[in-house]
Amino acid sequence: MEHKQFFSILQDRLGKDKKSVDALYSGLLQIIKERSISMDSVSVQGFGVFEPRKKLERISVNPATGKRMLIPPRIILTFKPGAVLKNRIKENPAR
Amino acid sequence: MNTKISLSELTDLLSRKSDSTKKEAEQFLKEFFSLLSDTLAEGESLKINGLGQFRPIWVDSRTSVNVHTGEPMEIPGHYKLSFTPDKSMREAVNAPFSAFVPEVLPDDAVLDMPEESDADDEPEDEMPLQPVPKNKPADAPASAKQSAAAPSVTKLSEKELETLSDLVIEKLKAAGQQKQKPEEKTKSATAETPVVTARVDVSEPDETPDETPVEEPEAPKEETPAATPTLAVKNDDDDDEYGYAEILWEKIRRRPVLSTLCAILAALLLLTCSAAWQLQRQGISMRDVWTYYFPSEPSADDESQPTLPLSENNSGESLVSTPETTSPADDVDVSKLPPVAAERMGKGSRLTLLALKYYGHKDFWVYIYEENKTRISNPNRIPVGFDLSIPDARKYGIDANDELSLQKAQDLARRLKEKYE
Repeated sequence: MEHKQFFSILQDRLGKDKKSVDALYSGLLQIIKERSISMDSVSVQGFGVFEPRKKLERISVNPATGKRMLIPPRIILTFKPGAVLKNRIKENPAR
Repeated sequence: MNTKISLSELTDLLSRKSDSTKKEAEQFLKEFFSLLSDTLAEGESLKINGLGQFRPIWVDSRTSVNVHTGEPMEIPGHYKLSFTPDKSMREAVNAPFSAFVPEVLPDDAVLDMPEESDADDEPEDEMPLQPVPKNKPADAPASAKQSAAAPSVTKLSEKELETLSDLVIEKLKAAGQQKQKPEEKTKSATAETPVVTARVDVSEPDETPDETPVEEPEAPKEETPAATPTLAVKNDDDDDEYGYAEILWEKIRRRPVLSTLCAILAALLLLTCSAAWQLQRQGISMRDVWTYYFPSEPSADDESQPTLPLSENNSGESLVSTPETTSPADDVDVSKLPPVAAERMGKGSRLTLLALKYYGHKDFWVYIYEENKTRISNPNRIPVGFDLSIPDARKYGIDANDELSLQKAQDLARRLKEKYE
C-alpha cells in the first residue's frame, strides 16, 4: 500500500479533509524527529516504539568492487512493534 | 535522553504542534496507528512518505531449545515487521553524525594487530652461547691443539658421567664463565699452539714402526712423574681445555663437519689406546720405550707443556679426566696406576663377577666398564674373547667397605642402565 492510498483511507475514517490530516501528520513526524534527535523514543500503545539507536562504525566490503569501506557511526530510527502488532502480523500472514 | 513518551503525552505535543484540539489529535493518532496496524496485519507492506517503509518479512522455521525444560523445539516460520526509515527521517535523526562519510580503506591497511610472537625468548637463549663463536677463530689456527684437546673432551665427558643432560648443564655453566673472560681464553689458546706443535715435532722422531705418531706423546707421558711445577701448569691448562671442551661440544652440536672431525679425533684416540694396550700386553712398558729413546731423560720433562697432556692419557685406556684432578699429588698418582690385571671375557663371564673377584663387591663392575669403555659399545653385550683391563681399585676410589664408594658406583650403574636401555 502506498502513501496516497493509506491517507485516503485515513481521511475517510476520520471524516476530515486532506489538509487537516496532512497537518496532523506533519506534526507527528516533527515530534518523532525532535525526540529522535534528543535520543528519546516515542511509544504508541498497541502499536510499537520508535526509537533512535546508535550504531558503531564498522568495516564492510562492497561486494561489487571488493573495496573495503569504513562505515561511520550513525544514529538510526528503529521501530519495534509491540506485542499486539507482532502477534497480529505473525498470525495473519497474507501470503 | 532515553525517555519514552506515551500516547497521551504524544497527543498533548501534537495538539500544540498542529494547532488543533486534543480531541482531534487523539482521534488522529488513534486512527493513524490502528490503520497502520490493520494494514500491516494483513501482510501488506506500507510506505509512508516522511516516515519510512514497513514491511513484513518471512522468517523460516528453526529449531531451538526450550529455556525452561531444555527440550528441543521448533519455532515455526512466521512474519516479522521490518521498518526502514525514510530518507528525510534518516537524515534528520542522524544529524549529529552527519559529518561522517563512508571511507574507502586502502588495501594494505592493517586492521588487526599482529600476534606477539615469542621470538623474544630466542635471543635470550642465544646469549650464553655467544662467546662460543667469539672464540672460534682463535681455535681454528690451533688445529694442532685440537688433537690434544679432543681426547680431553671425551675424557671429560666420560668422567663427568656421560649423560648428555649433565654435559649440557656444565656447558651452560662454562659458557657463563667463558663470557666473563673470553679474551683470556683466546690468549692462552693461541699461546699454547706453538707449544703443542713443538711437542708433536718432538714426538715424531720417536716413532717406532708399529706405533702411530699420535701414540708417541703417551710414552713420555707415562714417564713424567708428578713434578710439582708441572702440576701447577697443568691445572691452568686443564681449565683452558675444559673451556675448550665446551666450545667443541657446542660446535659439534651445530656443525656436522666439526662432528666428523671430532669422530676422527676420537678414532685416533682409540687407536692410540689400543696400540698402547698392545704394547703393554707384550710386556713393553711405556717407560721402557721412553728410556730407550731418551736414555738420560728426566731433564727433558722440564718442559711442563709436553708433559701435561701426556700425563692425562696415562696408561692408554684409562680415561680419567684431568679437570677432576685439580688438587695435586694423590689424584694424579692414582690416575696413573696401571691396571692390576687383564681378563679375557669368556662364556659366562660377567663384569659383575669380575668386580666381585677383584673389588669384593659386584656393584663396582661399572669401573671395569669405565676402564674399557673406549672399546666397549654396550656394557651389556661384551663379546666373548674380549680383553678387559681391570683398573686398580685406588684409581676409582673403590672400597667395598665404604658406603659412599658403593653408592657412587650404584649411581653410575643406574645412569649407564638408563643410557643403554
